[in-house]
Amino acid sequence: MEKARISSIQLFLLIIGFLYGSTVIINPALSAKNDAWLAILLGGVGGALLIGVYASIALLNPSKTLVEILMDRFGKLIGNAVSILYIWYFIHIASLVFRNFGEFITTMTFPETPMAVVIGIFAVLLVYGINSGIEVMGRTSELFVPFIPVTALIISLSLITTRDFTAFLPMLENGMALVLNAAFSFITFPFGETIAFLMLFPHLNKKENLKKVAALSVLFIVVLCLFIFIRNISVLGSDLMYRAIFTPHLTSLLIPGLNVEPLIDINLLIGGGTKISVCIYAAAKALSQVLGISDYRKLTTAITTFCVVLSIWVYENVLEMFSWAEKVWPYYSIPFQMVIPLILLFLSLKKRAEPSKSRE
Amino acid sequence: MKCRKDKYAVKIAILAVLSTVLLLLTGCWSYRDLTEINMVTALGVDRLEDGKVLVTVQVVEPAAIQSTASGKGKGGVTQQKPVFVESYEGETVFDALTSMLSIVDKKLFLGTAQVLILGEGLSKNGINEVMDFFQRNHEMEYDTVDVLVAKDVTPKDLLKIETDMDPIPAMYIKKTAENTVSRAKVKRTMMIDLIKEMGNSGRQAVIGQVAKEGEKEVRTEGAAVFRDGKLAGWLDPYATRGYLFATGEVKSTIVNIPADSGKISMEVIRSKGKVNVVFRNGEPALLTIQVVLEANVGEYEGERKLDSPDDLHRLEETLGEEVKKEIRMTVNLAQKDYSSDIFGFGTQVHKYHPQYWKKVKDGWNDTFSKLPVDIKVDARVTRTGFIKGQIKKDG
Amino acid sequence: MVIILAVFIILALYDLPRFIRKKEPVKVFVVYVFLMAASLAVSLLLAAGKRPASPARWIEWILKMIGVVK
Repeated sequence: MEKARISSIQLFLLIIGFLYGSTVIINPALSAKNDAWLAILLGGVGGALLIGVYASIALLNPSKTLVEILMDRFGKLIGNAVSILYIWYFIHIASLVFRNFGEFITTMTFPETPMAVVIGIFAVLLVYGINSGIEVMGRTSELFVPFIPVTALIISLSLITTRDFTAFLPMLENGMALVLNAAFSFITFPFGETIAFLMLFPHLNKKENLKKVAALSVLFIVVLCLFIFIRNISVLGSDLMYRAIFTPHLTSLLIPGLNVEPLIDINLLIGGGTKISVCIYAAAKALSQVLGISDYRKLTTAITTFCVVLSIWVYENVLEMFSWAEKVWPYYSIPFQMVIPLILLFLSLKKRAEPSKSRE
Repeated sequence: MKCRKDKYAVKIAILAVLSTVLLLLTGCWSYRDLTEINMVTALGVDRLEDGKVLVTVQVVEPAAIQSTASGKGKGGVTQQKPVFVESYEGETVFDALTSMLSIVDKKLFLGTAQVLILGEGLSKNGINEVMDFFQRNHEMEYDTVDVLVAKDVTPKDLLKIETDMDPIPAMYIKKTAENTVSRAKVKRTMMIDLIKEMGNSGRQAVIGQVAKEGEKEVRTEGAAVFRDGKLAGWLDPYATRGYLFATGEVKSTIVNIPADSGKISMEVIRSKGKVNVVFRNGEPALLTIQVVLEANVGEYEGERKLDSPDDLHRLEETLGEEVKKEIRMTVNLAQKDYSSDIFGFGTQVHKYHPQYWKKVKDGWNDTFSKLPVDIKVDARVTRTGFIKGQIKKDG
Repeated sequence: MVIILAVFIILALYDLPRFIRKKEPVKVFVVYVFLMAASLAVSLLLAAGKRPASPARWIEWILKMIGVVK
């Protein structure tokens, strides 16, 4: 195994970049319309619990990646099978983020550029980053991720005069069911996707900080999402916010006398880039471990190429992307994000209890 | 040692190649030079008898503007006009804009549009359908486009006006709408506000009105009242001001009030308006409009001197009554004639009484028309300008 | 079509000689060729306008079979 190390602050920023990733343009919590703030809060609590589960698994199986844990707990055959499913899942996430990114850029910024070109050029950059290793990814996030809250703040402050702070009223107009639904979607996207970090956690230099880092990053994201939600709804009103395809972009268009929408593009580049890098890294690492290949770098090009093709193949049009992300994605993700990790946690706890018993 | 040097050289070579590629790749895929686009400054949309859309564009020639600006006064020479106006009909706005390229040379760029003028025919048929294009298109800048409704004139004729005040007629029209900050006689609607209002069932849209004034000028005064996206009627300049007072959009204006043997022009310098709905037993019982404003004495055509605080209190009362009268006139129009909740009472109901709102949502405009309205105006007069009273020869 | 082929050839030319030079085990080649061939096949089909049913559809279909999604 490579001896790369990342610091707590780097992991913190990586998780933030990952969580913010495509949430900046598609926030599933927004399907709760003007009650989205509640969905964000509930989803944040659920997401924190989920990431807590992942962190516990990592702590119970120190310096092992997800694949190694799966092998240990499930045995070679099932472990391998489940690992391959996870590899597929990571590739899928990466390609979805590629697609979100491509759709956004082709809708908003370069409408006449073919999406494949946009995604392809972005992919070349990311392959370079991933091949440079986890340390470089960590340092890059240190450099870029702080831009995200700064741009959010800039855009918000520029719109401070055109706001209606009562826009989120009335509360619970469409019933609690919608809010719970949105909160659940918000847990599976983006929080549940941090399962990919189980491939990265072994590289953290101070293991004892893991839970703290995870909790802080979730808190940070919840606060940031709330902040952005309040900004969007107070500027756009609930109807337009719900109708717009990429809400933050529309909000940034409204700043008088100033075109700052490239800031949103930059946010997406940073967040989406972090997310894709982590996912492809996780997939390549997992695949190399399953096959017993010494270096994951040999596979990144092939996997990234596959992701790019998949991202174009996966949806026919932009509306399919949204409806799929809303309707199918949460259920499809449940086994990967909740069922298997919970089984793993259970087995790991049992395993820890057993030897101590036998020693007595 | 030599080997390392070679590697170094290779690296430099790669870097050089990459930098060259970078230079070649500047700009966007669909990059267009300024000289390869037609910059649209104003758009006019109208609906024809047969249901088709007539789109008019006003396009500016940047080069010609410079020559008009520098060549002013030289005269005599036939000069290129700074703008041209073209119209084309199509099934939809987008269709018309694209088909127009059969008579216009370069691609029309909408990002520079400043004014959108809606025709009367279109407004009567409903504006929601054509507004869809302006929301969907990525070139539109929602927050810089002024929307106006043309009264008694087609958008095409209006855009053909060539004024001496500004080389670009669209800018001239926009500025006359913009200066409502100091007169409050026309409602200024930016496209984003219109889009927001269209989706809001608790508040009906009001759009500023523009008409032709002679051959070379326009007059932006008054407003058009919509109901569910269709033109319901017009507000005259004073009713428009009543509306703006009620919704708190007055920045500054002159209100004339009668005084003993003369008249006074009060300059309103600050004004806030708020609407509310009072509920009794789960039903709306009373609509309230509250206006707080601050004014100065701007001009006094009369005999007396203004030298005691009581004078000012009297002025405050009269001013309040005058503003109240204007608001009352607007409310009556909105309730009786147009049956359209332009003040946004419905939004208040929606926000604070969502359960009741669900029941009345579809028929709210009728409910609104039947409710009593209480108007309170609190006027404060603080200053009288530089002088206390009129010039008198033997003062 | 031609562009896609060119891109894939460039990618293969970039990676495969490296693998051969380093004498990688066969499984690296197998995985690499498998992923690249799958990508190439799909992208050629996409370019030809014959879009095969996407994984998103398969997943939806499987979930519908189980009865989770309506």
